[in-house]
Amino acid sequence: FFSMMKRLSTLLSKPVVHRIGVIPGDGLGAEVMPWAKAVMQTIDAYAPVSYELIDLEAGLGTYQKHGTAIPDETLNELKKCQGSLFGAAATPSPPPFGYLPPVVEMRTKLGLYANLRPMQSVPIDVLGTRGNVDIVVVRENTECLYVGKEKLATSAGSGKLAIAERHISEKASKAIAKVAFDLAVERSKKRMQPGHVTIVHKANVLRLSEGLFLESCQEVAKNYPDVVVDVTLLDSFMYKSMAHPSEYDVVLSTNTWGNIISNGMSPMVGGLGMVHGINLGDDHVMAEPIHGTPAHLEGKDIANPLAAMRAAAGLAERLSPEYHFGEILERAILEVLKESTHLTRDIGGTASTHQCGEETIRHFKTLLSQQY
Amino acid sequence: FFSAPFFAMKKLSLLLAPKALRTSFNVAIIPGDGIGKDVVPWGKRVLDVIQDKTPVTFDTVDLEAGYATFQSTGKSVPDETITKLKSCDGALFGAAATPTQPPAGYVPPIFELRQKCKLYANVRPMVSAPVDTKSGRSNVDMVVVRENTECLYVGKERYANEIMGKGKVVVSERHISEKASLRIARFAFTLARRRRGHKSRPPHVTIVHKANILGMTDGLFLECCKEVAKEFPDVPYDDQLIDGFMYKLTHRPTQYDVVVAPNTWANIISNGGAPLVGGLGMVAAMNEGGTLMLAEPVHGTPPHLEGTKKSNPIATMRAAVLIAQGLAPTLGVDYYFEKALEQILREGTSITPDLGGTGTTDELGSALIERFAALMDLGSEETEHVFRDG
Repeated sequence: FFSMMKRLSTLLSKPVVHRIGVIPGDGLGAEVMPWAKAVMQTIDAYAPVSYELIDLEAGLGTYQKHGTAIPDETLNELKKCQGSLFGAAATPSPPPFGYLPPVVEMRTKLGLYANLRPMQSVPIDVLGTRGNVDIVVVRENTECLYVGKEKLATSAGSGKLAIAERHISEKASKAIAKVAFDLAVERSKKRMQPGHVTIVHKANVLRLSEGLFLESCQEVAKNYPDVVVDVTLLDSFMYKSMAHPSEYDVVLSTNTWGNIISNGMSPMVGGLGMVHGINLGDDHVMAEPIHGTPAHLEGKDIANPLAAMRAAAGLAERLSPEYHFGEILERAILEVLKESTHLTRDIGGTASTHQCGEETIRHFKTLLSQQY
Repeated sequence: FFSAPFFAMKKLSLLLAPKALRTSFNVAIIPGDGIGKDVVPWGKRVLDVIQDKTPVTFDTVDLEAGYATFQSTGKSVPDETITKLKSCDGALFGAAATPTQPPAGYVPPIFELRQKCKLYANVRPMVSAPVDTKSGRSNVDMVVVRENTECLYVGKERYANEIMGKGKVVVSERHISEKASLRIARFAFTLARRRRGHKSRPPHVTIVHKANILGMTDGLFLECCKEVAKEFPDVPYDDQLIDGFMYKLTHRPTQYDVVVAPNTWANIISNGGAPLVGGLGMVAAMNEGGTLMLAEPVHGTPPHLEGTKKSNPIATMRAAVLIAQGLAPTLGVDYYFEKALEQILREGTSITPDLGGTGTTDELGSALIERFAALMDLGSEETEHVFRDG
């Protein structure tokens, strides 16, 4: 009787509707986006959540058509969305004066101050894969070398001199530290061990700015006495994370190092085709695969759709945590990996993007319908 | 067939060489702090062997630098060290125990040394080692050429509280100049050309940058490299973003030959790439471009190795070989040292914990010195023979 009443109430209650902007971008970004959309559509069909998917433009193609990589229309629509999916954008070569990749502008304009990149080991047989990796890279997403403040000067002896500014603020540093420490606490419950935050910096070269970053993080750390904190020089971290990746839990760093760290560590968990990022703000969540638009993989239906699909499920999980969509997709992906018949080249298989995407959706549908 | 008499003739030709061809060099020995003091003596022993077996003489002078030096003199590199270095041809630097947040007035000694001696190029060979480490890969044979004077290392930081609503803000400057970029590019392409045919690899230069975010600074760097590339039509090149490169490096490191990048990215590349070739205990760097060839192991002074006497001396010994190669290239001593290294590593009995063994610094150091000296005596043909037959 109770389970019947429960089902009835689920059917009668208004489904949650989220407005989601969908920005495929260029090249591989556009090739994998349909699979990210498929994840959202599958959730919409099988779970008590609804999405309004709004197709939007950004990237090199957009730049070539409209003279801007991120049109006002796209930004205005995104501001009305709870979340969005971003594929990848190619950068014009050479980049025009003052050009910044559209994703950087979106992060700034939508207040997406935290960039979370989960990295977990997968059961695949590819060179560079490591076991027992379970890390989240928490990357400050608004400042550092990404502020777009460069100038050109001519100096007497050295010819042209270009100068870029790197900004580190107390405010952004504390904000990102709080995200990292909250995440460590959340993870410690699941992992059944104390949370551990590793702060990565380059204070030997950048005494003042990294000093401010470290000071700000350590100030926040005081509010989390149960979280173990260690501070590592970037050079040492690059080395140690390759040598003993299983030692790490939450890795906290500024924009530039955070990006490099997550790209460098990705081969351990299946490569760029497997890793996604969640750009988090107070009012908006933008998820993306972390890969770019490698030209040599384009147009061949060989790109790995899993990073983009994980991005979609990650977004869905953020917006509706009670339904655990991210976890459910992970179970589906694990099944596909174990089957090993529908894996793309980069993770040791011979399947096409379509085959991998379809098989993953098939498993995801089954698991979702069992759950809901 | 030709090797033994050839080597003897090399020796003779050096003895009879005109005065312009020097055989006597001044080399500074600067251990620094912590494990630097444990490993640098083995670097010196490498120079001793070379001095013993060839017409070359290394007059060494012990100099001070490091965190301990800063604590006792107020300077991480005393004026006396700089003065004495001016009359040196080479220098072997160990490591400095720079604290996480150094006190005001402290400059890491290696930065000071690079700047004062005008060493604009930082060259880091990364070659696979025949040891079984978790992240080690085979067939890696690349050189990272790091611009050594600018980028985020110019030490120009300021507080900028006028940026609204953000609390304290620090602005740091990153400098990329046409002059330094052209210079390092030329160095890299020249090196690639010189390496052509090195272990049958085609020459190639990979330019690493982040011009999509840093269009002016890295845009300028890239422009300068491409300009220099025109002078080297025989050396193919390509360019990659640092994030994509770090992925490709750990995904398939064997594809690279010479990699050139601004200071900050190149530092990250060589540290991140070290596990692929056996770890930080294996990689040496040569700082050059002025009148001094200053070599160092790329590791620092990790606290967990302090006092254990089990640090790997190979990086420091390779640094010493780089000095000898740089000052007297015709001797070809790197060939003998690398062969000795290969043998000792394969035998595996004296290797240090970072390479999977239980040996001490001194055990590994002395095993290598003994073998290096023995192979130098044998001559190159015999050495090859030993390898072919086991």
